[in-house]
Amino acid sequence: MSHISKGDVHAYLDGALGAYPEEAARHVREHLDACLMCAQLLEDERRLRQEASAILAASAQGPVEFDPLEELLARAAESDRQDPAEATEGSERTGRARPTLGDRMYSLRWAATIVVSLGAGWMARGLTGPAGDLARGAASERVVSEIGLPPGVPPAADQERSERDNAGDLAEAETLPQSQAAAAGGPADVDTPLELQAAVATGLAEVETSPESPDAAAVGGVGPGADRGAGGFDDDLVLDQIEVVPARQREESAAAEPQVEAARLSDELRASALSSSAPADDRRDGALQLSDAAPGPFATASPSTTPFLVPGLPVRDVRLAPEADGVAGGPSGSVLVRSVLVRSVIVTQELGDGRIIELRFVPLAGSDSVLGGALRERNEFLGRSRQAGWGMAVRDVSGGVAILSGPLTERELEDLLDRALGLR
Amino acid sequence: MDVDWGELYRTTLPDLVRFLHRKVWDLERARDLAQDTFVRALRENPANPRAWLFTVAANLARDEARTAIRRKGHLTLLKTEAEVHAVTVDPAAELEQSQREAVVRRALEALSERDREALLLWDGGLDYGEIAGALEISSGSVGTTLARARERLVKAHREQEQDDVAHQ
Repeated sequence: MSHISKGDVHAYLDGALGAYPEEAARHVREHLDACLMCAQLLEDERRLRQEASAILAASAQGPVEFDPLEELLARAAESDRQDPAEATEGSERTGRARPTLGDRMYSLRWAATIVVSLGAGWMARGLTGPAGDLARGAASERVVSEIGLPPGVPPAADQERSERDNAGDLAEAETLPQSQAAAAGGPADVDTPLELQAAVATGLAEVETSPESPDAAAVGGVGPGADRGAGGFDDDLVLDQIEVVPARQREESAAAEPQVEAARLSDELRASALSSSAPADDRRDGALQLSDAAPGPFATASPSTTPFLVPGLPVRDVRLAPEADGVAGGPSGSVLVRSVLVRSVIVTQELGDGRIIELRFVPLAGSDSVLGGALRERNEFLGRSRQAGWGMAVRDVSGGVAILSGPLTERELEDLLDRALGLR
Repeated sequence: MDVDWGELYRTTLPDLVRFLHRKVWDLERARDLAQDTFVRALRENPANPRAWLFTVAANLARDEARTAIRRKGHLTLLKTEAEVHAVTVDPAAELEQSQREAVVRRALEALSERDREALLLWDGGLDYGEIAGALEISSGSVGTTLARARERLVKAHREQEQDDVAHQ
């Protein structure tokens, strides 16, 4: 037995069952007589209806004096004389012409055009990049720095991601051969960390590891079949499988088994880090001591060799903002970028107590859409971060904006950001 | 169709004013709009005058709301001048009525436009068929719309009253 709806109950209470087909109206009446549950519903809705009527009645005003009908008739006759056309062409929407079906369809066509245009723009936002970018999706690809991870041992997260790659969820990054890169302008001539960072972000730079630098690292493509330990590049480089190996540690690994520490921060780990990294209540402004931050065996970055990186803090993650192309990322003094589009570079570093901070360079040379994408992603991240008590420091720098966020006071973040930018 | 305009005017105008008052929240303005609507009806001589009156009144109230913002500064000035000459019968009762009205107004504003319109049209005396015609919905969905509108009105009204108590 199907019960009756609230709408039917209200129609019954409003005496509107006459508008129902006879059979349906009889069903409602008979059911209300027979069904205890619906009889209870009827009582509940009756009370609700009475209460609603009482509420409306509470706003009712007292008696109002009206002009006599004769006066209104006179006004109608007068307005007919003044505007006979309106009298014959008027509609129910007097004062605002009732839109015809054609009018509505015309409006809908405009709306549809706008929607289609926006949709096409969204779908085609990756078409300016190399082929295959469309499949990259909105997910933020990571340039993972697996510092010291033994070759050939991808973390579990890698395997999962690899499975997704096989399913086509994540397209491989398109990398330009050296010759093509040169033809496209070749490596940018950059000298300062900021210039380098800007060049990295705008995809103009192609910077390889300087083996002579003790802080430098080799950046190896580890796409299918690539030699992870060789430091060379695979043209089929998969974005998520870039690894960064500090040169010093790489040298040491020849003699001894390297310390293993996966720097990848999965979304879950990131969330966990965020939730556990709220600033301590007793932390004083400016109380953060960089010496507190144990640099670890691989943290040897310095502003002189590394763009936009807080010196003395281990790098946990390097990634690119979404909606852009290419490959980038290079903590510990080495960066290789084969990117043709502008995008933000995001570096995650770890404080001595395990909390993390996030450094971001947003290139303002980028197109509005790319910049917008980077800022959107940033805002979403900040939205999640604020709940964990994260703050933010921002500095205008050459070619863009440098942003540092983390579970610190604004003053601490400004101090760290200035250190990262070499201003202190 | 012959319409007894005198009878219609006598029976419908109070409902129309009440309907309009809950849209413009100004009794004098509601009265003027209701009479304007009747003047238009007298010129148009519509087939279903009662439903026609409420439909046109609703549109006039909407237009009124749009122009109200533009007129706001001027009206404020006029109102201030008028209040100087106004004779207040019972300030306490007037204040109480004003507060009651404000609560109802906020509760009604919590409803969607369609739900609010359906509720006010029903309260104005229109039947399900006329409401369906005015809102361009099926007759079968009027009951559901009214059920939802009443439920939300009661809930919003309770919340408003609780808020008022909390602020006192």
